[in-house]
Amino acid sequence: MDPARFTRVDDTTWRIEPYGAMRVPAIIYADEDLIRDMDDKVYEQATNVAMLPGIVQASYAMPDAHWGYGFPIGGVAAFDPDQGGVVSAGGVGFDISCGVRTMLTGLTVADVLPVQKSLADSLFRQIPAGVGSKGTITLDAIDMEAMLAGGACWALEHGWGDARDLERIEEQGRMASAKPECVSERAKERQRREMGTLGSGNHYLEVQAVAEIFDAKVAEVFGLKQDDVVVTIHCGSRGLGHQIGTEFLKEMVVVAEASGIRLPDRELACAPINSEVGQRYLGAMRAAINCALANREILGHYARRIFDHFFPDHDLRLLFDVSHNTCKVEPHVVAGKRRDLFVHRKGATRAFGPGHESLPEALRPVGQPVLIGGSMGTGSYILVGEATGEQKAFSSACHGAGRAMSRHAALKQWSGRKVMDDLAAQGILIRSPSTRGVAEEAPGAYKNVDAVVAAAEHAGLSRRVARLRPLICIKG
Amino acid sequence: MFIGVPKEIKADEYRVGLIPATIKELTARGHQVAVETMAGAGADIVDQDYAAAGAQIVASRASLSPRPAFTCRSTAS
Amino acid sequence: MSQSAATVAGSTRWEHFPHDADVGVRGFGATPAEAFEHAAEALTAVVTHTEVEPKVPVEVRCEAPDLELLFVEWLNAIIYEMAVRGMLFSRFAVQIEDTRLNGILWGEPVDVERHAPACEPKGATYTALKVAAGSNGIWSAACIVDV
Repeated sequence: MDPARFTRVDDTTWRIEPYGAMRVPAIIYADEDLIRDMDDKVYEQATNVAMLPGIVQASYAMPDAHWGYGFPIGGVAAFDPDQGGVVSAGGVGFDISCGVRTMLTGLTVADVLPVQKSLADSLFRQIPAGVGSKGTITLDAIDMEAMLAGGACWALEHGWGDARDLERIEEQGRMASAKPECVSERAKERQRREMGTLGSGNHYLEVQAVAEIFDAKVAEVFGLKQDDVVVTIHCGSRGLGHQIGTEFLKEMVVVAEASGIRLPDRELACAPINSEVGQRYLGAMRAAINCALANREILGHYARRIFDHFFPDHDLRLLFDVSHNTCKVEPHVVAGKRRDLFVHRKGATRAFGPGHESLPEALRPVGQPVLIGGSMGTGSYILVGEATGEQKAFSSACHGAGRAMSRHAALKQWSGRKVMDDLAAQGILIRSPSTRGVAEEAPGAYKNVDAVVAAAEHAGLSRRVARLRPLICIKG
Repeated sequence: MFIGVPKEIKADEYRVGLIPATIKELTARGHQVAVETMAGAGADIVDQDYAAAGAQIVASRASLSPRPAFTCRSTAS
Repeated sequence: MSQSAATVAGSTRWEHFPHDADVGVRGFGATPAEAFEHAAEALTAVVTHTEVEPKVPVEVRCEAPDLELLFVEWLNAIIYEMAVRGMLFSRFAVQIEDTRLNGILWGEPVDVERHAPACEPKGATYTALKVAAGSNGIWSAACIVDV
């Protein structure tokens, strides 16, 4: 995008003043290089979102913003139900509550290197990942309802997890007001045998090492030291979430027009929060959040079990579990008044600052961990939420590097086999059932996550705590 | 009869109490077998192999039946 | 080998077109139904480049207010069957009547070793959605699929 199209507020804040049908400005947080790199669709989509009824304050885009469905990926938008605010299936995405959890191991790189290959092979063999992989958990109708209502709490009740995990998961591991009855039979059918599976595409389980500490004080509170080994899982609500997204997108396209909402773009399919379909979507979406939370809890349990074999005296402890495709009701102060807003974050992470009441006691003094995935061969980051984030974008931050090129182009450029060999030469073991999938996820296909997190920090959205480098990457 | 197979917790114990072939024999004779998830991780046996042999995969040794008839453990050499 | 299009007797049946994080699928045909069939082949090619045996038939039915939304419904019906049956499909027959579509898919169970699936389609979207006849009379049906 051409920076001249924006009003430059400061080095990392770019405004599009309201024009035409925009009700609020659009604000993009990024440095100039990132702005130039962003596709023009981000401008178009951020301004389109600003046209939706009931939008509050601004339509935001994070430093890793790129072209999405209706909403840009990396988009944040909050709506007030009392002002005719809408909820949008496109503003949440197809992978509802896709998110990341990082678990501390208490091990160091020196502990892991001697068994790196065996550990990689064991993780790859044991954890179902990719199309055609088979989970071993089948949910009957009663289990399904309970899982959709109970989330990670349900998983824990059945032995899949540790009680100490719950306070380290958003919503304490259970999204309230979930309505399993609003989830279709087809969505449930798609999930029946999918619990405890990793998925494919950009989902992964990584064993990582702390490569650099930026904030020693916060790192200590988080339990991170140089050369510590952690396990990170990136996964979402699987088939259930995808089916819900698909079905409600269709319904909302029809309903939006019937409600008299002028959609600048059909992909912005939405419904008034206080409408029947809006409420049904919220109920189903919350159930999908529970599905994702339960799934990551189960996968975390698998990781614990496998690590148990190699390191029986150590236990995996959950640092935090964040989601980046959700719509959540949160209290925010706008123009001096406290309002309950429906905050859409699509490819954006909630990032509460220090003192936030929802944070567990141990973390409250410093703020919420924000887990940012990089690409397969490069690094990931752990950030911490900033108090300034609240005014900037309703306490939101970026979610990852974002792709620099399409899967199509990546496949033309790289051979999966070569990518794996090159990374192995750097000490990074990749395990995947598809070399084509590896090529599509090649490190070069992604943008530079360093620049994205630096911009997020400069913009006051969240602050770097540690950089992680991969040792093992399992992808489906 | 109900038989539980926990994951071994002894260091370097890569053997596991029962292998899928044995489980298949047991389930064929009408016994119920529950295997703790990832019990075979050290022996390169996956949950799916146990499930295919007729075992039920459970989350942890705590979820093995409250009173299995007996529990198969790998014995120290 | 990068297989992003398929031609038969000099005319393109389907192609992939680029989109950031996801994939665009486009089918061509003499009729909308034929374009829908070939677009479905493009969908399978997103997952695997290996041949899929059209052994087992599955019937699908869908409807939508217009042809474009019907195209998205068609692809989503295939994605659903792929997911719940654990199958891949290589041959398709589509019959469109007004706003209703009757279809048959032929395929086989996923064989991870043979098919080496690269990714899993999550759903067909309204992004870049277009079903139209070109000036040469050839119909094309396209949209982005979230993977």
